[in-house]
Amino acid sequence: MLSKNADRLAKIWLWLSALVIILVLLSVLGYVFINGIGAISVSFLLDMPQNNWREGGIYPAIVGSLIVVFVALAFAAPVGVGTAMYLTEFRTEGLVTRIIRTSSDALNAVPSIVFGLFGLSLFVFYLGDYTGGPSLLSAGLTLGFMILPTIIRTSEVAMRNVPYAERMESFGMGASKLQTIRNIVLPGAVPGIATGLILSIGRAVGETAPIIFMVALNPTIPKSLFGSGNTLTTQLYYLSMEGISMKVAFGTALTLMLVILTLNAITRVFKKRLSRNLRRC
Amino acid sequence: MDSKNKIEVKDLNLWYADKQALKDNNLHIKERKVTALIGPSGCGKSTFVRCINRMNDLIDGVRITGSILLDNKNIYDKDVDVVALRKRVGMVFQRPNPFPMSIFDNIAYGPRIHGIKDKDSLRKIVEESLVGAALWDEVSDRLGTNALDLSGGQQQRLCIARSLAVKPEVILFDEPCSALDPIATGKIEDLIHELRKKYTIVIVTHNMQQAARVSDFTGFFLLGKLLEFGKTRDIFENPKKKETEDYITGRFG
Ligand SMILES: Nc1ncnc2c1ncn2[C@@H]1O[C@H](COP(=O)(O)OP(=O)(O)OP(=O)(O)O)[C@@H](O)[C@H]1O
Ligand SMILES: [Mg+2]
Repeated sequence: MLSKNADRLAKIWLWLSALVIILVLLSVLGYVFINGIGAISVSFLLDMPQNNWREGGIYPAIVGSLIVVFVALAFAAPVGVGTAMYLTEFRTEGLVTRIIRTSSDALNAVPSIVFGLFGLSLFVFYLGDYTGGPSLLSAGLTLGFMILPTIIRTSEVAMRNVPYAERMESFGMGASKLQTIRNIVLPGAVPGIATGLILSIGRAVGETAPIIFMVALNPTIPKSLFGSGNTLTTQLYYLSMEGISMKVAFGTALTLMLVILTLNAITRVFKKRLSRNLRRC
Repeated sequence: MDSKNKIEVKDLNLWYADKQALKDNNLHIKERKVTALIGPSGCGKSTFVRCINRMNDLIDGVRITGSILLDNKNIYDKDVDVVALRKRVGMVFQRPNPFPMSIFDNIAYGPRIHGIKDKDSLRKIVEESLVGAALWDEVSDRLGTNALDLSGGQQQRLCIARSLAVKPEVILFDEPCSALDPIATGKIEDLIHELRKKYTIVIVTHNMQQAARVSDFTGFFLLGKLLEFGKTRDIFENPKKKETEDYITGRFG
């Protein structure tokens, strides 16, 4: 009897916890949706801001976000996938792999505002002559540092999941290491790597702290990577902090969330592909 | 008439780090004959066959002394191109490992690696290889389907076809039937019988009947050493060493 009651209690508790999660999610999403949907329209997304953001759209912020994410990926994807490939295909476990992996994990633990401070010091103050100071390039590179550990980790797991036996078969037919990586390891790892990249895009597009020192509120379309620009997150921060327009702030927030939710949906598709790939083991 | 020696192994020793896995092995493998290697688990059979196409090079900490002559040329000489060697000496593993791609692409993998791009040539090689591996009739109408959808026995024949596609001279089989049922095993054995006409074959097996059925020569390994070697008939009917006799009669303790 007792155990039956305990069972039931446990069930209720678990059920309530699950309910809380769903409620929190729905209220956050719902709140942003209700407050933001009024602002959103095609012209909101594609027009320039007017009258200090009180009217018009948020086009420059969208362009700016795209640019910083592109810069971050252009830096972190090759470096991250390359590091992962080095770890899995070119080194046996040892001191070197441990050092690389520990560094990557440590990098992942750095608070995002500290990345911001680091980016400010390195790209704006120290390398300012080359990066254009507080530019989209500086912001993108800082985000690139931040997403590097995720890309390394996910790519490494993806490559390790390609069965050792497949590599042996390939070598057994006289394939070189590079041929084996190109024809067997990379194709097998692509869904996993892509998942990691998309997760990283989501993270980069949603972060404010690392770039808050480099991206100010700017109503113009960025002219180049070396110029200053605007992103969705920083714009959201300034619009609400300075009480400029809550309506536009919520519109921006909703736009941001839609982008991230879409990215998450895409990752899910890739994950499915990934699990379909796994049947070969 | 006695056929010529395709492979001559001389004083072969192998260490995994500090642990010696092969000790002073000498044997000759005849061209276009089937040579079976038997022996208890862990005695070094797989290690030995991996020496013949230098797959052990891929394992860290392996050290090898001695020589293996393939057509009178030491494959461990400094100037040997390992890629070219593995093209000549193919390998079929214990468990079939098709690549997660179509049947066609699996077979065409080797030829493509070695630079054949022409569609017609590839198609011809794929067909020949599948015919050679006695799989053509079962898959000729679905070359585009994923090789992982084949049964275990078909997958193993696919892997054999895949190594045939590289046009090897020697094929090493490391327990190719251990994951297969008796019917699939029978098919592979028939196939080995066929392949024997064109290729030099080395097969590791735990199945005494299989060794007796498919091979011309048999070598018995014990603790990293080739203890006895000879015509399969002689080994099975009158083994010279007591250990060999105990092993093949199942009295090995
Ligand atoms: N990669 C490796 N690293 C270290 N030791 C190894 C490695 N592979 C094999 N060995 C050792 O070498 C010895 C011979 O192993 P091998 O796999 O060649 O035996 P085998 O005769 O093929 O056995 P089985 O019949 O079980 O397949 C064993 O003691 C094994 O533990
Ligand atoms: Mg073995």
